[in-house]
Amino acid sequence: MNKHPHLSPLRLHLVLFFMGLCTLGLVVRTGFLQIAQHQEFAQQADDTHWSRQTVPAPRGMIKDREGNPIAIAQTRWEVSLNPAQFRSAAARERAVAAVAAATGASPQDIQKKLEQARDKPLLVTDNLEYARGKALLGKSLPGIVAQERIHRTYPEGNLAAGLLGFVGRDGAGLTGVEADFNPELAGSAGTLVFERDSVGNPIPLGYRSSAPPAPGADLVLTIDRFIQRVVERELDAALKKHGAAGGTVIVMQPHTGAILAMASRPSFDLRNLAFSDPKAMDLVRNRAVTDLYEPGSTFKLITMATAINEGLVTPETTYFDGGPVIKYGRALDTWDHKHFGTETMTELLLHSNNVGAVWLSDKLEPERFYQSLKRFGFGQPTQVGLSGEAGGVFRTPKDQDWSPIDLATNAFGQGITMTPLQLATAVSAIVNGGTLMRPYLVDRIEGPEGVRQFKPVAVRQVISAETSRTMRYMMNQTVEKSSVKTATVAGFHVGGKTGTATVPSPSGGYEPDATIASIVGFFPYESPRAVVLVKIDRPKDSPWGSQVASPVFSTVARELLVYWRVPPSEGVRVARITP
Amino acid sequence: MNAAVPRLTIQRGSPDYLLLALVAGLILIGLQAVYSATFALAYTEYDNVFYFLLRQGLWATIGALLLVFCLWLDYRIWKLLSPLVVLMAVVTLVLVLLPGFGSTQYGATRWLKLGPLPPTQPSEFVKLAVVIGLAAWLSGPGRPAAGGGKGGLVPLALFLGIVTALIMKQPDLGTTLVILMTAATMYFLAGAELRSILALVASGLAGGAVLVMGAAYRMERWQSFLDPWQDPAGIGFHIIQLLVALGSGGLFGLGIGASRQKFFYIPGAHTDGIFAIIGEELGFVGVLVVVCLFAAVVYRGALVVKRSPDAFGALLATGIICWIAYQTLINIGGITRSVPLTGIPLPFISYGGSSLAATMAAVGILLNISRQASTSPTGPLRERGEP
Repeated sequence: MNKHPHLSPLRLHLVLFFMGLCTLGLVVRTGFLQIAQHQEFAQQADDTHWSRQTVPAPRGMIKDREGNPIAIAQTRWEVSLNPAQFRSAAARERAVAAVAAATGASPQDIQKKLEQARDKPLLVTDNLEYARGKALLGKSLPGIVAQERIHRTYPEGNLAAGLLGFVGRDGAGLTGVEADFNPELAGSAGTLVFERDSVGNPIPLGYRSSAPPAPGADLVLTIDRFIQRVVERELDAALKKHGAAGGTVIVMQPHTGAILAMASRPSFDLRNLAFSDPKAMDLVRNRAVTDLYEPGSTFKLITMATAINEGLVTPETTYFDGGPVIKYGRALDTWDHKHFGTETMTELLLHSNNVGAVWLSDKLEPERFYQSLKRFGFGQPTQVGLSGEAGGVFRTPKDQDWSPIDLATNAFGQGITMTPLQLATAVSAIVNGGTLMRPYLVDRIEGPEGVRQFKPVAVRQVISAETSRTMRYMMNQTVEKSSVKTATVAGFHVGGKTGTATVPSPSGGYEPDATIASIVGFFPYESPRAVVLVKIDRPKDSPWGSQVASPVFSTVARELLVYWRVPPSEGVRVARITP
Repeated sequence: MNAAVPRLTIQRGSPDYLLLALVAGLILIGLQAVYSATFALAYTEYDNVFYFLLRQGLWATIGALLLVFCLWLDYRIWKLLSPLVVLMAVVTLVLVLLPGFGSTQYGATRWLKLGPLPPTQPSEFVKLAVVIGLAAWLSGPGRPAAGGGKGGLVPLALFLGIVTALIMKQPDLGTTLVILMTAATMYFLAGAELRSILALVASGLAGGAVLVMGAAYRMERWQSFLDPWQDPAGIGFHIIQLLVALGSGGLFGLGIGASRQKFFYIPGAHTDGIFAIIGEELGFVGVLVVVCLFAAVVYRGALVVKRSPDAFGALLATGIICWIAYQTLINIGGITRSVPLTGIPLPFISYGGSSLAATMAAVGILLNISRQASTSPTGPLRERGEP
């Protein structure tokens, strides 16, 4: 009889043996995983559990010359909802409610968008106020993903948009000063190392360490926010009034080259960037330095200054304007087809006489004329420090396609291209005593390690101080003796020269109806504090610089003279300068 | 066996306190592990680090009451009640599948919601019911298993077929496996002929193969078992994260509470995957302690089988220890990638009230059998069977 009456002990022992064998197998297997393969798995665990995040550095401010901020950086949060991280319907509701409360959106709205997103992460906002975002994160609700973003805000609104440029979503400057001085403004990002869970969130009570970011430096521009605002206001008003396509105004300190204001149209809205449309990218460039144009009669200042400096003429020198001149088979005429007989050099500028300019170019001859153009900085960028700066083109006798007609037309500003900045810089040299200054936009960089001050840079002496004085006088006469007197400022003496340039057509020749109306002038006459260039593209109601551009110059001059508290020179006659 | 079985003289001895202590040890380790695996989840989801621990503690208390009740109740009563127990088991399994009663989580309909009662997993209690039913049937009139020939194979297959079909409908492959393996072992120990055993095992294997091929996710699990690194972010993610948890624990572990893998890397870190968290926090040493405790429970249980005063008790005890042992082996086997993963809790340790309460009730029955056995292995057996 079986020793065990109920169950077979053999079978029981067989079962126990089987279980024991399985157990032994599992113990060996676990030991293999935990001891033999420990290093491998520990490495894999480290790789997945450690997360390294960069912490963006606060971007430096951009300030005007008085230290007023015009672009500041704020740390904002980009908040998304990741439905994959919701572990229950209740958790989903909590997360949606918290995000809605923080952003001010309605929970139903977010819920709806989440459903539309079909459980893909949903970006709720990219611009949540720092404190609110911090509080939202403090709730540490799963499914809420927040990332720091450096967000540019503009206390002065859209002021100087084309000059400043904009920053991309990653916080890096993409155009304008933001791009050209990005290394200084950006600083260097910090890092944050922490243990994370499977969806990337830091785990509660986990290890953290961080290297703080190095903040970017502040950029102090030479721009004055008041002047910039006046300039933009007047430019916009003129464009509207004359139905013009665009324009540029530059205000420069003639003795330093510092740019006090620089505005171009068309432009874009810094606060509402919409570049999905490729055409919009056409609006972002700083046209004052990138776009070339033929200056027209404003360029006679260069021709005249050169001739006076070479001792070929004085303001009193006369020539005979007996009608259109025929040069190499081409008739060159005055702009209004009027002819003045015998007139002085001062009258030549006053009447903006093309025949006179051609007479001057004949006296100058190509060698001296083109040498002088180069000395005034034409044909090469001014090195103002902005990328994309154009240098302009003119032909010289060394070029194969140069012809003597070029010399004659160049003398009154045709067949030669330049940027508005180049002309403003050259005219600054004419009025400042004859020194070509390198124009500049950044006065100083205020970094954590100290201040880097930029000093004015004199490029070369172009004309003599005496020629400069003479030119100022002639420019004053050009404004004050003008029959229309649109550029004058009551109570002050100013100087300038208008221009009405034809627009070269891409198909050759010039467009029949389009003009660029411009003026470049300075004030006050007694000791110039500003050179102002106004250029209005394709005005519709009147083509003339004196009608379209001069009033802008006059208004800007008046506002600035008051702003600078320059005492009026009413009653003081302008001393006549005799060579 | 002959008809001259003498009257039983039941000695009401003391239960196997060592067995009780071993189970209590496992439950305590389980509470610690559940807390360790859940405090972060509980904090982020419920603002209360003790959320899961408190619930598990409550179920442990309910389980303890059931254990004491079953320890006190003469286990023979289960033989009388067995038809009712089996009937109730089948009814609850059907109820779970009915809309309005069943509750679906993680893609499986395993939870029964009855009024205000907390949701329970009937399949956990069904394991106990099947063990009681089979023990009663196999020890009943005619001893069907030992009867020679087909040895009750047909009714057994029919019964198991119905129960497992209902469970697979949820679906719950792990529980099905435990029930089939436990039933086969009981059938084997009850004296079935080898031919019948082989037929049962063969049909089980064939059914298993059909099931694996039949469901896409089971096929994926099979593939992820064969080569998880083929798709580490997809079907292989679960098993790889379990292995990373175990492997990174090393010999001594990262320390209590220090598990990193519980942070949402391991799905069900506090339920079916808790063994991996134990391995990560307590290392191979902790794993050995847990495995030894289980082995000791099964060993003490086997002693109860040997000393059982009657065949029903012996089969009942066999069923209970097989259930505990197989479920443990399948769980740990899955986590160590020794067998494919099936969703099944680690007895006494995994978070989950139904499992804890059902296994503790079963231990109560086991202890009641132990107290009715003699203190010496030969005592009561000798008194009875010898002619």
